[in-house]
Amino acid sequence: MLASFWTERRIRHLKEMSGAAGKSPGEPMIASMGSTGPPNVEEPVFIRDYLVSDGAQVTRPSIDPYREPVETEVFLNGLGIRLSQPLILSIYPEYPSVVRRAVVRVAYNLGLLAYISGGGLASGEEAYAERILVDDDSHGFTAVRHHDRILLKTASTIGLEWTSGLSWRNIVGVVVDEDHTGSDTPIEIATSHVDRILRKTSLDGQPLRDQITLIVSSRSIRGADDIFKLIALGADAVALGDAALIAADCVGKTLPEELVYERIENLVLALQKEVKLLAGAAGVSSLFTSLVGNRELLRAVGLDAETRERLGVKLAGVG
Amino acid sequence: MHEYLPIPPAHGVEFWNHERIEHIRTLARFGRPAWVWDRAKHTSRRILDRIRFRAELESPEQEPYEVDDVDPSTTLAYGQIDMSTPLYLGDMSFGALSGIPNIALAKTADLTGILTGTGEGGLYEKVRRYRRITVQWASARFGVDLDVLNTGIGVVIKIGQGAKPGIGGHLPGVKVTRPISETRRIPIGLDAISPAPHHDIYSIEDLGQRIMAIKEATGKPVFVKVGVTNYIGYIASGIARMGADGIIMDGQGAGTGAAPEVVRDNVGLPIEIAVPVVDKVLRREGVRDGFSVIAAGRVSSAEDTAKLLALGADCVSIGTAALIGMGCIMVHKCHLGFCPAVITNKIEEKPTRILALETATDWTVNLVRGWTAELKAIMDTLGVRSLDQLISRRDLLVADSIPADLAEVMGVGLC
Repeated sequence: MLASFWTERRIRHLKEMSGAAGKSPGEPMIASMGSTGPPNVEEPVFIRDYLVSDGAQVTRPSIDPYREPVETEVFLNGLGIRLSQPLILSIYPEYPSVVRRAVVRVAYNLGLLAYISGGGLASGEEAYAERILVDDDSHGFTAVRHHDRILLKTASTIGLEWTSGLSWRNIVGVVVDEDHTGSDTPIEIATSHVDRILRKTSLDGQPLRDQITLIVSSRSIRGADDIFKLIALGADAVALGDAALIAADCVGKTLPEELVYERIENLVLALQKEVKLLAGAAGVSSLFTSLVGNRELLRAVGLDAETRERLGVKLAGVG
Repeated sequence: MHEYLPIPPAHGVEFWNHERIEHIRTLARFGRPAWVWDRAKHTSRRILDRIRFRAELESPEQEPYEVDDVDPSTTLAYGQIDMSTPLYLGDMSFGALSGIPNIALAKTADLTGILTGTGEGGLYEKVRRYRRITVQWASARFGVDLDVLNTGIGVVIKIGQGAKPGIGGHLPGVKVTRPISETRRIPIGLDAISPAPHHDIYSIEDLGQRIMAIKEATGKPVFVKVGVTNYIGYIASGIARMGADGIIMDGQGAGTGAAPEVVRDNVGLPIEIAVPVVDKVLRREGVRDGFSVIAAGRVSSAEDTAKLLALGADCVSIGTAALIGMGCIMVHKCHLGFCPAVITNKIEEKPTRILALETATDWTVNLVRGWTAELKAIMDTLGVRSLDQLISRRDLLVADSIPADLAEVMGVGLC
């Protein structure tokens, strides 16, 4: 049973991009006539449903995402890893093994990371280890590990407990996981909060944020719009899981691994193109240098003043 | 096609729901007012639907009636264009629409004394002989030459549109048939994707040069069309200062023949926020008088029109509503080329079904007349006799269940 935010519209969009439906796998979904999306038509579910992105016009030009380069690579500083786009593919314990294998291979081949949530490497996955994050509880706190580098894993919260007693010297990143026990704050607010804290804190005279990678993870990430907005709120990369599972249309079906692989690969390529469309429209030529934490590109159509303040996002209509 | 199709059930929620479609059809059939206060707004989430005229709160039950002694006429572009009513039939291209609808729109504009825009695809030969059209100068310059620019009553420089601000026009390859190929001078069967920006407009000064060049070449008024985005106030102010005669602002949610869904659903702001913000900026800067503010995007009724005028617009643009008047049933298939209402289908050399031009024109003319009659009834109820008594009258409005700070940005008082 899927959560209610997986609307028919969202599922169709993902399946068309993966090739499980429609005729243009690997491409952004084209639609016509006016939007039926939130917040003005469909009822908003998440804070990000109230946020819109900018379109660059006249006073600064947009960038043509079909003809001009829009750089989607992001650098995970602490890990020394370059992602081809700000996307991490999560694998949850209950996922069918064909999906797990396909995701690991797609992440490896397309320059992403796979994140095995709630587990470690399985046999046969060592060859892909350089592009895999695993959970690791052997450090006295909940951690995510890449080889010998450690990222702090925290619930989606604005409590500060997670920073106390830590030695940042041993930590290369933070993973804010909305599905982690103790999450009590929407992922948008937690993302913005952690980004700001890291920007305010220094280590060796340098802002901690420059040395620490911020990854946010939620099973509720539905597509490129969610990814784009969370990057603008401060994340370096966004981890999604169920969107890929839904896009592959493999739940309750027995599909060959190659077909699942192809669909997830199509999805990843299409998400990259959609992120490029949003970036190009906003006049952003490089996600890593111009989008990460750039809240000015967003406006809130609605939301109360306190929530906007926590996000650092202005009200629609405010220049 | 001479009859409306049955309206199918919508997939999920829809702004253009059955009540709105039925109301537009009633206007298009009879050309008479069908209601005074918009009854579809009560089930709608849109911000504009949560702003009410104070007069409605005093007399919510109003039967439709005809009014004689109210004048809905206006002028645009520093008095250069007379309009019988503040309605502009939106810029929809030959290609996005299948030809007959383009002619019906142009014919309606001539018959009713309003305006229509030809959209981006160059000038369709059968539209050329109508007088009350604007021709569009967009980023791909499809079919644009001096002769075309001189054809209409004015020129629209298209910078952006509400369904995809920052992204160029998109005509899917399946719709690029021989007639489109000839009008746009592009290969058959290939997607026509216009550049996202104009590559000769990288600043407000660049835009100023294009405005002046077109004015010098044609002597006609120039409008600049933009999508509503974060800095719409500054953009409008720049456009006015650079000598344009008006701005067409297209809000988030506006229709499109084809757009990436992720952009359509996530980029840009609603028109009802832009209009008062822009009106205030232009007044503060002393560039409001005579400059035309045309508001577009989800304009669905005369009440929407009156509210957008009271918020600070001079005129509204109607696109989707005009198509519904011609029989659109809102199945969102325009980009696929097989429109059941034969409005946005691909243009074939031997079509099996076509829209009947006479019927489509009658429906659209009636829609303009019925819409105007409802606008006059609203003006009468508000106690205003002409549009200059309605435009920028934010005091006539009151915010109903919208956040106080948003109401303040819009210049509208609270309930």
